[in-house]
Amino acid sequence: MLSRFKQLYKKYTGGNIRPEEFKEMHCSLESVSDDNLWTAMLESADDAPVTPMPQEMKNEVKRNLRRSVISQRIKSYARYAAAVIALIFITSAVILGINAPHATSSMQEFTASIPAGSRTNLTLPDGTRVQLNAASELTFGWDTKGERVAHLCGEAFFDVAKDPDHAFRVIVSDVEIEVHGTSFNVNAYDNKNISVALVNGKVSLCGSGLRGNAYIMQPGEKAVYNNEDRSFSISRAEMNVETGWTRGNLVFKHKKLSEVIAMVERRYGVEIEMQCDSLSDDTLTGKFGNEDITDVLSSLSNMYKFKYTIKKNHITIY
Amino acid sequence: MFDEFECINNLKRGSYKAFTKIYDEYADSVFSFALLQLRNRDAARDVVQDTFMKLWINRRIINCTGNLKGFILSIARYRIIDTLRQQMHEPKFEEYIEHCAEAPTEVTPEDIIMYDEFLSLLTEAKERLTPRERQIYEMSRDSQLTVSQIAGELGISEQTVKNHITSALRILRNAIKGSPLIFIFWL
Repeated sequence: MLSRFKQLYKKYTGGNIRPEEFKEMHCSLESVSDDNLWTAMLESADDAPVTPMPQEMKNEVKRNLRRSVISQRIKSYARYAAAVIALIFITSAVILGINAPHATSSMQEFTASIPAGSRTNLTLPDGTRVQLNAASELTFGWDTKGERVAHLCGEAFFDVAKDPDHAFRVIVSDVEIEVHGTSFNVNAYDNKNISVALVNGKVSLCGSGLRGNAYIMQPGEKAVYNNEDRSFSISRAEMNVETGWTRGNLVFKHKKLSEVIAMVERRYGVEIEMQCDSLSDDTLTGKFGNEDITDVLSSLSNMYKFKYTIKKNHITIY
Repeated sequence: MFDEFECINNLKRGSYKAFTKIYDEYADSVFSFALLQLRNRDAARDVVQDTFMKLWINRRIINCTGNLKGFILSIARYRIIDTLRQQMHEPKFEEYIEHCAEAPTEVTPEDIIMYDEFLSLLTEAKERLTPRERQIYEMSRDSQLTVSQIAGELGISEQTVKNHITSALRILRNAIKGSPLIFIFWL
């Protein structure tokens, strides 16, 4: 039966399958395992002609990757992220390499992507609770020593499940946060600054700016790592500002208008074009609760006397 | 010269330059492989982007001592299989296969229409429907509701629903005149 499936599959990829053969293949697809399907795929590619990626598309994907990876410019990242919350499971055998000696089939890697305009609560397989803010992506898995590793783009609040035998590390760009049973907020939306605010427990920070020395944070502290000059600064955290988003608020203190606008874009899933550059660097402090986007815009426009137009998801400020 | 071994080592150390070298070298292979399985350019592009994003995110824990191409394909495996299984369940994919089978046999591989092209052809054609015909067509094809479910939801008779679907399909067929497009009806 499997050989019949492979034969039909080869006809399908060759582009010369009859509709009734396709129906037959489609019916048996349910009972074909992923491993066997993959073998059929590899076999079909053996003597198939190579179709190179169109140059324009290749460059486009390269630009998308660059945006996501290097500058983590969240606006374009949100376009890349799936339009729905996508939970992707892949076996760790894939990630650790097919020949990885430590990989066991029970270990899975897990990715959650949240588009702009929404946020979500997750429980990771180890019991850690995570709130993931808009336009963010979290990947969670285990390394070869069985330690827990999370990679974050965007912003998240972690309440880490205690497990003294397996460290929990959060990796954001150049910074590694090692956790010793705790809750804390990580904000990495900014291209330049990554900030960590510790609510309780203990975490240590490693990064190239610390030259191998870990900094151990105390509860109530906020650490900001500057990606450009690789410096760390420590200050007292105002928790209602740092973690306000987890309660659905948009809280900002001494933030530039341009940064506040970026927060509004992520929270409401809109694109804002700012045509009055002179205002961008003005700093402001405030809080929005469950207001809708038009309320937010009208209060900002009252304050700054700008005008704005809304066309679907695109807002122009002038 | 592309030095695979050096590139892997530099990637593990977090070199973005090594990452782009690997992308330049292997994006075509991943794309070509995904396109062969999915017959959908948009989906193949998404596979490439997703695969290289995962390669970067997991760069520190890469365990690849040789055959980087095989390793990268193994990262793409989940996404390709998942997309294939989903796509084959779409009723429009079956229409697409019908359409391909009707195409003249002497076309070269480059001329074979891809699933994403077929879908945009269909979307264009849908512009010609009245709002009501379009709503009923979409309930029937996209949401896969039965005639009686549609009739119940809209509060109209089953015969009216059937009439609308027949008329919608006739208009779509005329709109894609020139392409040998065959629709399978279920009424």
